[in-house]
Amino acid sequence: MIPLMDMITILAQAEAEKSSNMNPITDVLTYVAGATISTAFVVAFIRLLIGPEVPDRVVALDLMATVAVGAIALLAVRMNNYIFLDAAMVLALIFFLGTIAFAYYLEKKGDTA
Amino acid sequence: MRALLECILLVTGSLFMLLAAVGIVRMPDLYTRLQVTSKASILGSTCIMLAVSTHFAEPAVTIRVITIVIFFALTIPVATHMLARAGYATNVTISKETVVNELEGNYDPETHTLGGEDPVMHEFEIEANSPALGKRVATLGLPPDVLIMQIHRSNANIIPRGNTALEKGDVLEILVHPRMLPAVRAILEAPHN
Repeated sequence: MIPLMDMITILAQAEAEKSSNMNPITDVLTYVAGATISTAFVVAFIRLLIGPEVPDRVVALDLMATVAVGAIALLAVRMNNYIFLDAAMVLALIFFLGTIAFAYYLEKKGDTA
Repeated sequence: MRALLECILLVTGSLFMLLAAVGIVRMPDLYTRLQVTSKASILGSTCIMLAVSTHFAEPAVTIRVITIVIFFALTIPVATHMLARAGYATNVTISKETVVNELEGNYDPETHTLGGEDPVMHEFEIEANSPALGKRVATLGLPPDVLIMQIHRSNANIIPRGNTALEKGDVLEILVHPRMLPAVRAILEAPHN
């Protein structure tokens, strides 16, 4: 529970500081970028759902990880707290390993058609 | 000025992310999807990361940003290449609009290697649904660089001649150039899709 409380505190502080360190245009444009990235996430998720084959889904998952890293970076700008970038780095690393493992497994398993 | 640059980079980056996602949905097959997502997502994430380092303008942030950008630039091509390879090895469908497929005929799906120049021995069993069943060797229409060395039939070995008819259960020992393997498969084995 404590990390969650920390998170809420950080969010509250960021909201409070926002007006002081962000000009209105930056404020609006981070919202625009956030909306675009969220849309990208949802659109990539469509490919994850419809497949049709396993490698297609893995590509979608990989793209979603990249988009998530972008979203975290955007959050770091928005919250004015660069500690989020560490999370982005870890996410990128883990999903790279995941994709490699998937590709290796698919190739070893053989014909899916 | 810095805020303006940051905004432009942020919006451009997120637009490229969206482009990658639209591409992955719209493209007709796995290989084109891989191509469009890897390029657009690298550019998108690089733009967003540059925006982050512009926003903070601190060494601690810049180092993290450089690490992430280099990491993406190195790993996304590797990951997509491995996926494309795995996709080709598992016969993922290729779009009908594909113009050039240089791997076709030069790739052995069983050994996952490129076909070399040396001929190799292969065994084929004539099954009940084989298109070659009942045909004579001379009428099979085998391509050049293919030689049937011998036929195993019910514990006996037969030296094949042009008029030898193939029966069910025959095992053919064939000396073949790897690039001819798909053609030989098409003649001797029933299509399995």
